[in-house]
Formats: sequence, C-alpha cells, structure tokens
Amino acid sequence: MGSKRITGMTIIKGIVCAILLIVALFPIYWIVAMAIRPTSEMTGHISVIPHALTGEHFKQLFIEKGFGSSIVNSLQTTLISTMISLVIGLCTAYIISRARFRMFIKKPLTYWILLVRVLPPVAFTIPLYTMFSKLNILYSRIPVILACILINIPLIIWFMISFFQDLPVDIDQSAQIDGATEWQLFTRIILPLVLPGIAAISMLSFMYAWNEYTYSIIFVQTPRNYTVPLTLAVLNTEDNLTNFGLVAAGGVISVIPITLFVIFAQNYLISGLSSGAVKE
Amino acid sequence: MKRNALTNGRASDASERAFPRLMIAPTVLVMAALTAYPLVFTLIYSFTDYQYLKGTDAAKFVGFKNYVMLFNNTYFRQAVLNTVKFTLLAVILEMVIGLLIAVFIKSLKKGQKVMRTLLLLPYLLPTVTVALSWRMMLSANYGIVNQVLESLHLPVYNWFMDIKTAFGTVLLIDVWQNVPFVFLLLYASLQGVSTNQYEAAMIDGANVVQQFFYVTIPNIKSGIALCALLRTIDTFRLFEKVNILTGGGPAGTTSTITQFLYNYGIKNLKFGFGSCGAIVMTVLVLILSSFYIKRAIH
Repeated sequence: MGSKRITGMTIIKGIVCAILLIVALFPIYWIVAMAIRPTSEMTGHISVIPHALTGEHFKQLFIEKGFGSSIVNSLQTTLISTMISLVIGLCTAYIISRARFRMFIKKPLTYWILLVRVLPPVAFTIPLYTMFSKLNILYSRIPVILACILINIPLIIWFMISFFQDLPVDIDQSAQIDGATEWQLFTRIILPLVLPGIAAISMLSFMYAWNEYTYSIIFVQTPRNYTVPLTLAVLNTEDNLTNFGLVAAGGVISVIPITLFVIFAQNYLISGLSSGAVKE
Repeated sequence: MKRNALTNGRASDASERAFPRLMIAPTVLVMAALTAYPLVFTLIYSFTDYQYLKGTDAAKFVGFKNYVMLFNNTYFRQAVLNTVKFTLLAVILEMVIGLLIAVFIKSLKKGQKVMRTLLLLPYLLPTVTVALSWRMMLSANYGIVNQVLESLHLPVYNWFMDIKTAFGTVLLIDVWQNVPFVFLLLYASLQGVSTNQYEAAMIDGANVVQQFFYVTIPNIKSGIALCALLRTIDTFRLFEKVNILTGGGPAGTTSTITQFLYNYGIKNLKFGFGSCGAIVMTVLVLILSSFYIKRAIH
C-alpha cells in the first residue's frame, strides 16, 4: 500500500473526470463560442477558441429577427402557467396527502394524474387543437399556456404529495384545537413548512415550460406568438452560415434562466430532480 | 381515536366540508377539460374521416378504415420499428453509462458535488438548444467534428443526411442529453448504500468488480428499475430532436411514431387519421408503463 499507487489512482481519476467534463460541456461551450465570434471565423479552419469577439449576432437577432418579442412570449407563458399550476397543484396535493379529507374522487384523480404523466402529447393534441379553434383562441397565447399547465400540474401534485405527507398530522390537530380554519392552517402553517419543496418544483416547472416545444409547434399559428424554442427552430432551416451566429446567440439566451437556477439555487434544483429515485 | 373524534366533530360543519372540494375542484376541471375530454375525442375521431379544414360536422364515421390504412402504411411500420429500436438502444446505453459514471463519481474523495452539478447541465438545457448546438458541431461543411476527423484522416459524413449515420447520430445526441438524468438518480440511490456492506465484502475478499455486482447493484435495484422505466416512457415519445435535426429523414430512417403522426396526421390536418395513430401510440405506451403505474400506486 505505497503512496505511489494512491497517486497513480488519483491521476487516472483526474483524467477520467476531465474527459467526462469535456464530453458533457463541450457542446455547451461551442454554442457560446459560436455566438461571440464573427461570421468570418466560421469558415475555413474553425478555431476552437474564437480570435475576435463580437456582439453582432446578438444585435442582429434582436433588431432584425425581433427576438425580444419571443423572449417576452416565453416569459409570459412560462410565468403565467407556472403560477397557475402551482396554486392549483399545491391545493390538490395537500388534500390528497391528508387522510382526514375523505372523498371518492381522490383515488381516481391520483391514478389519472399518473396516467397523464405517462401518456404522449399526441394523445391530447388533436381535440385540443379543434377545441381551441372553436373557442377562437388559436391565435392567442392561451393554448401554449394551457399546454404547460397540463404538463406541470401532474408533476407538481406528484412531487408535493410526499412533502405534505412528511409533515406530522399533529401539526394539523394542534392548529385546529387553537381554532384555526382549514384555510388558515393550509396557508399559514402548512405551506411555509414545505417551502423548500415549493422552491424545487417551481424551478422544475419553470424549466419544463420554458423548454416546451412539442405542444408549441402544433398550437402556435403565427410568428407573433413564437416562443424562444420555436424561433430558434425556425432560424435553423438550412445549413446556412449567416444563421449559425444567430442560432448560437439565441441558444445562449435560451439557457440563461437555467444557468441562474444552477448558480443561485442548485441544491433545490438537484433535490427536485433526484427525488424520483428515493421516493416514488 | 382522538383524530376520529376531531374529524367527526368538524364534519358537521358545512363550510369545513366544502373546503376539500373547493381545493380539489380546479385540478378536476383542468384535467377534465385538457386531458379526459381530449382523450375521449381522440378515440372518437380515430373512427372518422375528420379533416380539420372541413370541420367536425362534415366528419363521417368510417369504422376501422383509419386503422387498416395505418397498419398498411410502410412509413408507420418503419416509425414503430425505429421508435422501439431507438428506445431500446437509448435506454440501455443511458443506464450503463449513467451507472458507471455514478459509481465513479461516488468513488471520488474530493469534488463530488461540483462534478455532479457540471455533469448534470446537458439534461437541464432546452432540447431545441441541444439539437442546434450539435447541428452546428456536426455540420457537413462548417462543423468542428468533420474538421477534426479530416485532420486525423478519418472518414467524414453528412451526419444528418446520410442513411448510414442519421439514426446513430440522433441516438448519440439523445443519450448525451439524458445520461445525466440517469447518473443523478442512480447517484442519489447510491447514497443509501451503507459502507458496512462494502467492508464486509472486502473482508470476504471480494474485488472491485465483485463488489459492484454483489453489493452495489442489488442495493440500488429498485432505483435502476424506476429510472429505466422513466427513461423508456420519455424516449418512446421522442420528437423534438428528430423534428429539428432530420424531420424523420433520410428515407424515414429516423422517423419516430410522434414524428410520423406530426407529418401525416397533424401538419396536413388529416385529424381522423392522426387520431387513429395517437390511439395506437397511447395503447403501446400504456402497455409499456403498466408496470410503472402499478409500482407507483403500490
């Protein structure tokens, strides 16, 4: 057991770590590297590190392609759908988690929510499209907002039930003895206790809504309503050099929210994502 | 018993009884309008010749005509085959690579947390952004990958257009993005394995490989099963990457079921036919996930 062998192992592990990081992060680096280099550096010999820096792609993206409105659309649909799903989902998860509320609908609803998580989007899209068209809202932002709500409510309920269940029922009982109404108990006592869970699932919901593509490409009818992923997908029509910079610049902008989450709240985010392994 | 007394006493209060109903009502309404109603109508439409431009009133019942057409459609059969092949390969690759990385990271003395966060990043990115970044790297004329291969005198391809490479390339990109999810879940499961078991195995003379197969794997079996199921369900609906990178081509080699339905049932507004395909896919997904649902419900 010489120290030499340990050093050897350490070096090998360091090399493996480096390889893993390069494989995982290079495509992310590359989109940044393409976004900030002038178009002239995208032909001929492409250097891994850009020689000159430029903001021309970002400028062009906002001025010529109206990317600002895509960001506004994305933020709007994401924030509105996340808020609505959270309010609705938290209320339902709490009721399902408490045995003292006896309702016939709890069990079928729980099954149904799980089923919705599993079913493919195409199971719902065609009648929804018809319905939105008959309601005359196909040209508004409502369809995509509703789609994000439909994606996120099951996730929020499924995730939050276990958080509510982990709170001892004694809390409920002592609050009731003190004369608190059910609503006061829920909003003033229960919700503050599950704030970490709410933080984690809010970020996940935001992320899923922000990244949403499948429903959007089917429901959105006019470029006026394009979200960030849709605008990016449309920019990517041909193997066209002039678009490389634009696509890369848009790609960089599309990862800003998740970058902020990782920097400022990675523990919540990771606990949210890995909860599936520990609890079911 | 005390709890029972409390519940009974309060149940008489009408406003308190209304509380759970009010709390649950929005979810019931939303789920009914956005999922139950559409699912029923997808089934109904699947037996009609509904075309969006002609409207629902003009749609006639045609029995199983759509289903017969669908099963006779070679593109559909190809798409089902592609989807099954893709799901199988992607899930196996993701599970093996994800597990190896999880065990490796767990063995590090320092930097586990940093590595975990950095390796997770691909999974967090918008799928569209991932697809576009890879598209730029793999571009036939201006891509860094072909440039590197050329300088090494290796063969280069038009990755997304060549029948030989398109399927594998999309597969690789999907695996790249989803390995981090598997890694994270299995890494979390590994935290629950007690070190005593490894010590006992070492005393019995088990080497690293034996420890992996006789201690690590049995301990995280349920985590592995759950993760594989989640990945299967998600991979089976693969659409975004295919739609952006190849549109199902070349020659349908990368077409998945969802991409087929998008091309031949939704984009061309043949909603009756599209609904029929959606129902077939739903049935396939239900068969695949029945095990998962049973487990999750207990």
